[in-house]
Amino acid sequence: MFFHNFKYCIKTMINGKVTLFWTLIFPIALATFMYMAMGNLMEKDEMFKDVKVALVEQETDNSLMLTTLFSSIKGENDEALIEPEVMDEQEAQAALNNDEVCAVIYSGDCHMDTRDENYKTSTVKNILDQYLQNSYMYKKIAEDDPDKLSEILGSMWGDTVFYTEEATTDGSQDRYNNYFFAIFAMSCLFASFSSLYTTHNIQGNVSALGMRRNISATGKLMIVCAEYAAMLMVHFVVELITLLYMKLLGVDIGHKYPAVVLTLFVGCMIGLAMGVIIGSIRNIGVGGKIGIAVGVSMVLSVMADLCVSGLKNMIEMKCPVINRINPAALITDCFYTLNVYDNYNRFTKDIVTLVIESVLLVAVSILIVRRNKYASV
Amino acid sequence: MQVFKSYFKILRRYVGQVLMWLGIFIGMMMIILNVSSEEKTEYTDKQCLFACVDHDGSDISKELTAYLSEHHERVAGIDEDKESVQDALYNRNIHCYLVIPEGFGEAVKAGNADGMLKLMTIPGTDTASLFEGDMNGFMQKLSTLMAAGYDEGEAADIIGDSLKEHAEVKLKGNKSYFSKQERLYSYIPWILLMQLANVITPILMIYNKKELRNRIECSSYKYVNINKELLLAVIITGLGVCVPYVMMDGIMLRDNLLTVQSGLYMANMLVYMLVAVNIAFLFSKVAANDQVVSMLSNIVGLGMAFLSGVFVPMQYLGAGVIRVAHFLPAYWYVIACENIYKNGSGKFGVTLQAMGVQVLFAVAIFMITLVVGKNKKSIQN
Amino acid sequence: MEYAIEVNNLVKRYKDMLALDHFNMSVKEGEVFGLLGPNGSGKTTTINCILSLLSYDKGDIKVFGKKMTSGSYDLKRDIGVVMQNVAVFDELNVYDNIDYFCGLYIKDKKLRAGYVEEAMEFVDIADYRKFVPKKLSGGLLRRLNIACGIAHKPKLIFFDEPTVAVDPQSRNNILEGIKKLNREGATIVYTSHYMEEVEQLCDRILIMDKGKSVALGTKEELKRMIKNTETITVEIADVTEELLASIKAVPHVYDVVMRDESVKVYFSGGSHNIIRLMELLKDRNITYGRVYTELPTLNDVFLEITGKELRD
Repeated sequence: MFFHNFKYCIKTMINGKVTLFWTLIFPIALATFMYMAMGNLMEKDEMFKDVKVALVEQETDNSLMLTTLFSSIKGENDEALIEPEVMDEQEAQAALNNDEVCAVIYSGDCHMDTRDENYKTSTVKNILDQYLQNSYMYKKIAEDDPDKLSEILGSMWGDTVFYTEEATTDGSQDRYNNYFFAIFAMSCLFASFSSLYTTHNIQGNVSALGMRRNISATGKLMIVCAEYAAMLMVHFVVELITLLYMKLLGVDIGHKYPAVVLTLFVGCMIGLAMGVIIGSIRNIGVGGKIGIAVGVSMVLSVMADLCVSGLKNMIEMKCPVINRINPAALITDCFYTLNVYDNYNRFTKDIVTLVIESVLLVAVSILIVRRNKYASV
Repeated sequence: MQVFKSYFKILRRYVGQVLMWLGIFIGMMMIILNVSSEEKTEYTDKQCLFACVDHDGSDISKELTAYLSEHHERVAGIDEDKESVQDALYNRNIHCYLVIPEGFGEAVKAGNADGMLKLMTIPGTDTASLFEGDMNGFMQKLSTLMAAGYDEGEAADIIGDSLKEHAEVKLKGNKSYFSKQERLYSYIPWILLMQLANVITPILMIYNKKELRNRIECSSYKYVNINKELLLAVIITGLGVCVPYVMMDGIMLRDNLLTVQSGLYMANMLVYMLVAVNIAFLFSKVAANDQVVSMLSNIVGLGMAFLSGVFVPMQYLGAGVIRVAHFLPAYWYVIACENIYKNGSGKFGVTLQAMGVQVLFAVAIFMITLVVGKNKKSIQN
Repeated sequence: MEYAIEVNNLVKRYKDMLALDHFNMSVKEGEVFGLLGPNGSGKTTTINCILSLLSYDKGDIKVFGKKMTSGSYDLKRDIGVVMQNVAVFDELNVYDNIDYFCGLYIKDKKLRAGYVEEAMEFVDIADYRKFVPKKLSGGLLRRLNIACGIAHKPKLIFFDEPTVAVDPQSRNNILEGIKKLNREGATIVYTSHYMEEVEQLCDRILIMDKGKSVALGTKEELKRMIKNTETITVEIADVTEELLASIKAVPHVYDVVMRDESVKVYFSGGSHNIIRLMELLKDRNITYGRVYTELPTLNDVFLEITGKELRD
């Protein structure tokens, strides 16, 4: 009986393409669009490299100094991070308007024109400020303590680095990855559509199919268990396909694949469990239940950074308990911790919470649906 | 006007959908408009968010933390353990975490403080560059002055004095800033398509049902009148759906709706509405049922929104994506919006061209729909 | 005598409404038992209570001598139900649907495969085995619904208004099929508000109204319960009071009613009533048109007992 129900549940799921669309095609399409639009967002938005500035030569000494100064800002692999280019004023302004350079610097009085107030331009300005401040200090010291001047000249621009930069993780710090983690979470929660139909169709008082199955010689619990197992298998395979696709696309999900696969498995469990409890709500038609499943899945996923980056962080700061129980937030947290942490402590906590939530939801649903004697059908 | 009246009777069933999408849009706008930046006319330095723990407590370390606190924003309440710092960095609650070890002050005096400060950050980012450059610059000055014989207090005074010197910056427009009005209108392509596709399409599909269509066609009602009434009803629906957004502009954002700029935004929106109506019309010919409509509207709506600069500003899109976007009507809508924001009624040619391209898209989609509809009808018959 | 079903003193309330009012019913093994009544009389409620789909307030129900509960899987193995609403999976084809539902009763794969083929042959739907439900006509869908309910060869089968909205040919097929099932040993409980079907099919009939049993017996026994044994209708153009009075005086006539241009004469008992009536009309030189005689129907039984028509 178990495998009989298992087999036919898989058949109905594969033939009924709607749920497969929402759990497989839609997340893949969304991930593709997101990747095309935002795949390089951190590169463009946050990384400090290929910063082009135009230098309008008004005072030769300054120009040389500034060119040398900017060129000396180097990256990890000794590459120049700022590319100064000497231009005439007209050229420079045109380049600024066309976004070919982020700033125009006039070497005469070291003033700067820019169209953007961001960290890149602030870094360029900071270098200019330091140049001006150092020049001021030389003049001051030359006036007040000329014997100390020789010791100071040149050393202000010394190459002593007082800090050691330490990365807190080997994993990706690209927070735009959250969008992709949230797509996984949404896809897992959309599994609730399948289990919702099953739970709805097992109840004798809500559908003709439910009536027929209620009076059969196979217990409801057996049917539900077999179908849950089938749905879990199908959705898990769907999630693996999505995972493979995201990897091919180039989304960074780290390298702890067994744990990632476990996350997806547990994610499917909680999605199905959600559907089971929604399906067992009384006095609502199947359309209403689908509406609830969509609404709940989307709201939980949005709260886990699906559409708006930073919402999960805001919730963490204002009301962290929500993130501790929101299944979408827990799933994205699993991806995050696997990516950046070198231990499994928080990951384990998240997984255990998800498993407990799944079991609780299913247990409550079973209590509602099992041996239901209906007052009316 | 039987068909016209019946359309609106059926529409009542779908009002919930319209309101749902409107609610989603309002919710989104409240978040997005709250985090949008203010328009600036004067340049101010960006400040990094940093946390700091001073294990040294010397005068030098205090000077350093005082300087950094003055030029950047210090964030309290983050523990020194790796995971707390990692979380804070990842979420951009801080950009850097500075640990000043014990003995730092003495090491600076002795001239061997190289690499002593521990700076946890996201390497290679512009915030890291800014903070590191600023911090190291200060320490360079401080240690140089102290090496020359000044004590820490004197050195700090000299440095403090020099801070009056800074580069003048002229802000020539704010490239990344868009007004709230522009932000509101720029999301329209997505929301209009979702609303119209989920309302107009199912209703038109009802009229396309074979039995119903046959019954209407074999009545004495002229075929031309049927189509005219449906067209009118659909246009009125489109106009009706646009009204709340104009009201949002006037009420939520308190913009003056009678300016040329507002008028241009509205005109652009109405042109895009025609595109969305025609897309909805096309869906009604290809979708088998309401579920397929939902699938199509989500894929097409989201696809266009991501690739055309609706969700992600165009400046961040890759060159390849921009090339593809030229074939999407939403791209031209966004071009018009940006031009209207930047130039108002100036460079009107750009706005007009963008609107014209949208109209061409609407006509092309309409033609395709007629062909598809004719094919489908002949197959059905 | 072995009873397939015994219902005693069944009471079922839906909030303020009494759906079953101390209802009693016994169905003998091997018989075709009809449950007849207007809409809302409690037929489907009775079936659902017997099947343990519905809770009830009072009474007891036994199936094959054992108490019926929702956990009585051994009893459920021998029960099949063909519901009023079509209950099949839209995503599975005809074969898979029947196989699925049969599989809820029969574990053995080989045995089940044979049963499924037989069920498809029985309802004559084998040519459509690969079709999905939405591609089937209404009649075929009903046949599929039946196949799903009987594939596992149950000993007791409930048919709950199986011919609603079905074309006449399919209806005949369904009724023939039911007779065949009965011949093969199944006990059938058939509910309907179509009295012609019940009359044609059932050994015994229980007429119910407002949750109560109103009459029980074979169709002949039921008809004998009422006064009317024959109704003769004669088309007469000119009817006088005197004529009506003289018709009423004919032996065994208990009522005469004039309707449009016809006279309906109600007889209670007697034989060759038509001859006596024709002789009277001949003696009086009355010109008449068509004459036809009707035997009482179950509707007449119901009408006389309750004062209402079976069909609303």
